[in-house]
Amino acid sequence: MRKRTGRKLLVATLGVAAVSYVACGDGAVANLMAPPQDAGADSAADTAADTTTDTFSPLDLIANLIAPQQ
Amino acid sequence: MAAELFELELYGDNVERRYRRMRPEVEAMPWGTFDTTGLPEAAVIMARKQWTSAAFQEHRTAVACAAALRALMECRAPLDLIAMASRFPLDELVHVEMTARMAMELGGGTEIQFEADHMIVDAEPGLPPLLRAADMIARFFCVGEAVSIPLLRATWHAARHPLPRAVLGRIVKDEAAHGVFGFLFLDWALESMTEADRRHIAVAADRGIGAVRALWRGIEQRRRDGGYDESPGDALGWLHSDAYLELAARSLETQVRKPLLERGIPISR
Repeated sequence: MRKRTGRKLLVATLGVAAVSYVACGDGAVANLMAPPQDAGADSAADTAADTTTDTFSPLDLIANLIAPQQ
Repeated sequence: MAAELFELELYGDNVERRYRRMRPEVEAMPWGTFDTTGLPEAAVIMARKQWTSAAFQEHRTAVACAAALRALMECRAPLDLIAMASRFPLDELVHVEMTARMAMELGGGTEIQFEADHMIVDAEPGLPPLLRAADMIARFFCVGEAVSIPLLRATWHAARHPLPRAVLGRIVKDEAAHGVFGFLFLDWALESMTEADRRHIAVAADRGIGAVRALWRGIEQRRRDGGYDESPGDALGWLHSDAYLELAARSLETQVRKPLLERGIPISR
């Protein structure tokens, strides 16, 4: 096999400002739109939740909205 | 499906050289010039998180563009319209690279866990090809891409450092075509659609609008809760919450709801 000189483009630090999109796959139901939950203690807290009776999966949103304090 | 950590790599060698030839502007940006000295640690971590999240969202948007492109071909949309959309996945990949490199510039990516089988919400496979395309394009382009353009442009103007300015400027330039594409598609597709089809598109668009609004409610709640100093934001390349939310609400009205309603799409959100 030919050796290539690839390299990492994005390397994540585990435990820092962690966000999980796991279990968001069914885009229609459940309590899904507390936008990405923080698991890291070293970042600003993400505590938001959709306060209406409607729920949306984070996967329903396709865009880079570069929102502050996501 | 097991969770995966969101990290990225380049193949290198000739493959990278070909890629660089397609989009030489990326390497011309002032990489390696962002000095975070003097910025609060919490602000830098937040910025790393924001840019990592931006890379993930751009990656998901690339998946969405590819899915929409396939649907456009399946429904035999006009060839020149498909050709226009064929550029979008590459645009998004370039955005993935730039935003990922911004995160690395600030100290490295943060942790995002995701499921590869669930990157986007596909249209129902049983739908006719035209409606399948319309369902995705309404959500991905008429809502997501259309509303993002004014927000990206304003963030670009707010960024002071040449590197995030260059990155955001490139994204703004590319996304302009993405933002109008959804409505160009609708202007063609609606010619052969029934009232029931229009209602289906409205439901799809409402779903996208609802997700956008839910995100913004989260930002508003965090702003009310306080506890985070936004003052380094423009140095790090993003808008302050108040300015963002005000522009977001206006943009949703003018860039999304108004053009959908003008085309007879009976959205309810």
